[in-house]
Amino acid sequence: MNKVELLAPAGDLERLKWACLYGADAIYLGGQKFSLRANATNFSLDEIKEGVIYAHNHNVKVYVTVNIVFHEDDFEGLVDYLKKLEEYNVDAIIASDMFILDILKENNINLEFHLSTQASCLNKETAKFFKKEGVKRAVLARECSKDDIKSIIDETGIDTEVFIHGAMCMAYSGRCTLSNYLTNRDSNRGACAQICRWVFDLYDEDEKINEDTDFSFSPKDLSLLNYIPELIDIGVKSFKIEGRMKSIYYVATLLSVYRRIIDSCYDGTYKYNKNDELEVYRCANRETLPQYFNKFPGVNEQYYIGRQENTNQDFLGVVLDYDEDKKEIILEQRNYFEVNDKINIFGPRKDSFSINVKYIKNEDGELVDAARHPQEILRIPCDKKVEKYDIIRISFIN
Amino acid sequence: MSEIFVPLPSKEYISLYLEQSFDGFLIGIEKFSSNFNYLYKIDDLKDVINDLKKHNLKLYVSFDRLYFNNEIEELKETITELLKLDITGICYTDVGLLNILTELNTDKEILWLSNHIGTNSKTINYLNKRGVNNVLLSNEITKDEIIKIKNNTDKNVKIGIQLYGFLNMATSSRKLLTNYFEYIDKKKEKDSYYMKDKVKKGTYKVVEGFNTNFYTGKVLNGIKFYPEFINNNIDFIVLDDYMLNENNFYNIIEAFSSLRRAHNDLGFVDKLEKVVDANTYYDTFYGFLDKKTVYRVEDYE
Repeated sequence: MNKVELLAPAGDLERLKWACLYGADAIYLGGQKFSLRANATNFSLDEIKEGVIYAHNHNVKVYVTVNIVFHEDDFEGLVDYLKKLEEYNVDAIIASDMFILDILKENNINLEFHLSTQASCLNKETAKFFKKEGVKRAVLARECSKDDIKSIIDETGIDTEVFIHGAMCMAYSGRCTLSNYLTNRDSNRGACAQICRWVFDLYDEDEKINEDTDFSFSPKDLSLLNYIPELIDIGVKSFKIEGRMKSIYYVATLLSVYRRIIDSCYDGTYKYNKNDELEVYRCANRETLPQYFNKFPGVNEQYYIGRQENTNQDFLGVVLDYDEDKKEIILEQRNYFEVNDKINIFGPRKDSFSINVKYIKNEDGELVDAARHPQEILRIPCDKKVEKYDIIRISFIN
Repeated sequence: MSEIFVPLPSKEYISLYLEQSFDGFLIGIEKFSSNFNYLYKIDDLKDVINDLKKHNLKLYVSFDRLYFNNEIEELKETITELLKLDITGICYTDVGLLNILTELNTDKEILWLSNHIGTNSKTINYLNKRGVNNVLLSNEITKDEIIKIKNNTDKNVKIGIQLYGFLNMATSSRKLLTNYFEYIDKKKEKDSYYMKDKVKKGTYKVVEGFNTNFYTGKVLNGIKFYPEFINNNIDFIVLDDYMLNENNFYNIIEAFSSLRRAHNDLGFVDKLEKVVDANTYYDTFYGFLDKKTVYRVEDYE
């Protein structure tokens, strides 16, 4: 039985490497052209080449998004770009504009085509159409329920990729141009201004409806954390985490939790763990819900008082090395912590553990009472051996 | 000559509209269409078709939304019934419907309501090879892009653009008004409200039906672009009356059909633009016909 794929986002080369280490089976990324999230760092062609080599060395696949809705002036360089992706051994492209299927065939470019969620694959007939067209995999619309997903798989046999975690579009993906009309920024070419996070006054003719609570339509985030065994049972091929613009900490935390859950489903040790929910909630500070998976979303699946993600300061540092003689962690600081704080350390494919910070030394070996400076190199004592790329966070696990 | 298609608010309007020069109707159907003032039952259509045939008018039935999996069987049955009628064609938004039509091996015309994503000729040519022979382009592209797409598209596919009406900005499957009113513990009295953004104070329509749709608060009046579209062989235009007064809409059709007859008279264009504005009762605008969107921060700055 093939194990389901855990697919992680990578906004740049550094995040790609972290995702490889923290348990991704595959990574998706955007190039500097033809990709949504036009204002993210994204990857140059050289970086894609380097990223693929790194990922393949770690037995991880790489998919490149070519998912803008093309305008007439956007074609220049596309064929050469796709040929480069093939040459660099990219495992698939994720695209929504259908003509790319013809471009691949006409130019003998051997790249697997994954249908982007922007194409609104919401029902079995849509899935059948694309399967006949040679689409290997469909990223299903986030509006699909469990029954929809199962029916599409059972009745079409197309490989399916399902979003299991991350932000949701308010609208059907690809069917929202609020950004175009309100800010002149083209949502379907990567410049979405996230109007769904704005607040508005609501009127009935001239009568203002809203008093204390403005009108808004921002969905809470998606999490299918507690439905992983069911998704595996119905035959989903790939579990996708949203968030190419998210931090290392976010991606590492989610991968760590979902990797653990998926593996436990296959080795027969799966059981519900409240701490998993706590971990995934705290790394984004946005509420997460199953959204469309088990019922049609209603009032509770949205926010009504604007943006609600607070700055997260759980991420305290990154392990650079471990001094076995002195039994000290050498770390790079990310957020403030101080002596006597309880911290938690987690790493790729291993259980986390917590310790109290007994002392902190700076680079000169001087004792300091707190870690105050971002990216400062520090030492703290720890009897248990840790490894490079382990992550240190505030201890909130019960 | 660029054809003009309009909605049909009810059968009674056929005789009134026949006084104008236009080419056919786009109509919505119960359960499966969304952005129409009036939705028809299949049985009602039989009478309408008889009337239209007498006057050599075309009739397209519009399936202008996406469908959930549990709607597919009934959708198939409806399409099968419709294809038995003497309609001109079927319009679709959901690619799944194109699959159904292909499997039914229909000889009716197929029109893609591209709904934000019909923005280039290559996608249209791709769909043309799969049986699509008419495309209503996205509203979010410029006049120059529209003409360029027409020039680069296979000759056997007809290209059209909406030139009048509120413009759809987004569609959500969520009940966004119902949810909001439930949250603030007030009764939702209607299905349509206005929202105003707090910065630019722009006004937009929010309409809840099967989906929640967002529309511009202003009405597109693109009549001044029509002569150039005619001269550049744009095959058809759509005038939309959704959420507008049907009686005034008669005057809108009259303005566009008059212009079609005399499209090289530039002085006439200005006059008719004012006629359309006067019959609209909402502020009008040109949409993106004269305004390009940007998609990189450096372009935006």
